[in-house]
Amino acid sequence: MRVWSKPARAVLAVAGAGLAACTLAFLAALFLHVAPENSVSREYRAQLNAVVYPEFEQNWQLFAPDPLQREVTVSARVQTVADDGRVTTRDWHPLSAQDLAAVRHDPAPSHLDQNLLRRAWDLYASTHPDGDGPSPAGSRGRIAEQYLKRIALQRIGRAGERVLQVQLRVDTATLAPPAWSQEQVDTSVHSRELPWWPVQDEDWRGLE
Amino acid sequence: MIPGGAVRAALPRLLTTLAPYQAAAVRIGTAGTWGAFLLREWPNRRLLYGDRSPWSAELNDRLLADTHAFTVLSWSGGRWWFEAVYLLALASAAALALGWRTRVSAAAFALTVLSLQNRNVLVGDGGDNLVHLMAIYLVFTRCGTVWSLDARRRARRPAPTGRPGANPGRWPTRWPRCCTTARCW
Repeated sequence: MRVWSKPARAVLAVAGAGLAACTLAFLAALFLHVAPENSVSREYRAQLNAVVYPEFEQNWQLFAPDPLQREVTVSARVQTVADDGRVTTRDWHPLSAQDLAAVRHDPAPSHLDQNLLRRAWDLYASTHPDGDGPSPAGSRGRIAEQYLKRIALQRIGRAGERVLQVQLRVDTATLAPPAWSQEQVDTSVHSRELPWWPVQDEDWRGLE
Repeated sequence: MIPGGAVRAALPRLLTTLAPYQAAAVRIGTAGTWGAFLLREWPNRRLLYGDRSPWSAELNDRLLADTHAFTVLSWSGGRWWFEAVYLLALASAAALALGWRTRVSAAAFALTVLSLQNRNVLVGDGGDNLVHLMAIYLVFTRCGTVWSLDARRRARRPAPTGRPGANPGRWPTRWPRCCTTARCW
């Protein structure tokens, strides 16, 4: 049987009390972060964010999942130039439809098909709330633009010619409510055509 | 101030493992899930987290400058560094699920989970977030005392005398005697 000496007991007690205090403080911070906004969490918003982000983000969506209620369909097309200078605008390439086809009937769909394009569009939409003009250099909006451009380029490929520019189109429609619901929603499709984005050689880096 | 006697009496109880089976279940569930995910994404690994991702290392560096998230994959954008980290992720997930050198493999597991997920947060969802949190908590949890290769090894090797803790299952029977020892001393 181990017998702890007095100094050892003191060290253990202090360490234990310290750990317990840290755990309590951490749990309190998480509680305030998750709880509905109140005067305490408003007061300490900056400190709470410093604890929670980036590694302790609480986004499990486990007990209260929020299924998507809108059909978001992203398509892309490119404009290419042949060696003789002839410019061709290619057909729309159905990016979301490809993802959907890959996910359907697959018991373990890949993050590539489930999340990549969906979250890239979420990032773009959240950084471009007032339309599709170019974002300032270095902003998160600019990152979102380059990311979407690279996703489209990777999926479409070079098509044998030099790609001049790329364009995205997003069709959004609210899903119709179930038959038993009284809810009235507008299920018409809203299209949003993004501006043509010029393509440089460095946009292809690592894609092929 | 807490009296020394109270500390002495509480020590054995505090130094045991609370809820060892629950901790083991979380360990096996988390590491098994993430390991299965890594195997499933093996054909897509370079597109999701590696050198062929449309979320290039350069784009991620710009985001990391904002968020300060941790990833060893930002140390080098090369293919082989990434492949090594991915293989370590697979190995540490397997080791943690089996409970082999649990303390070390839990740390390696957390390191690789954070590294891969923070290389591209934009392909994650709620499940990834849960694995991320559990991976960090498991480092601070004594999760290998049962249902693990470590426990099997400890059970085979006779515990050296005068050193409790080698087999935590024995603590409850020992703890009354420990009180008397403490009082004599």
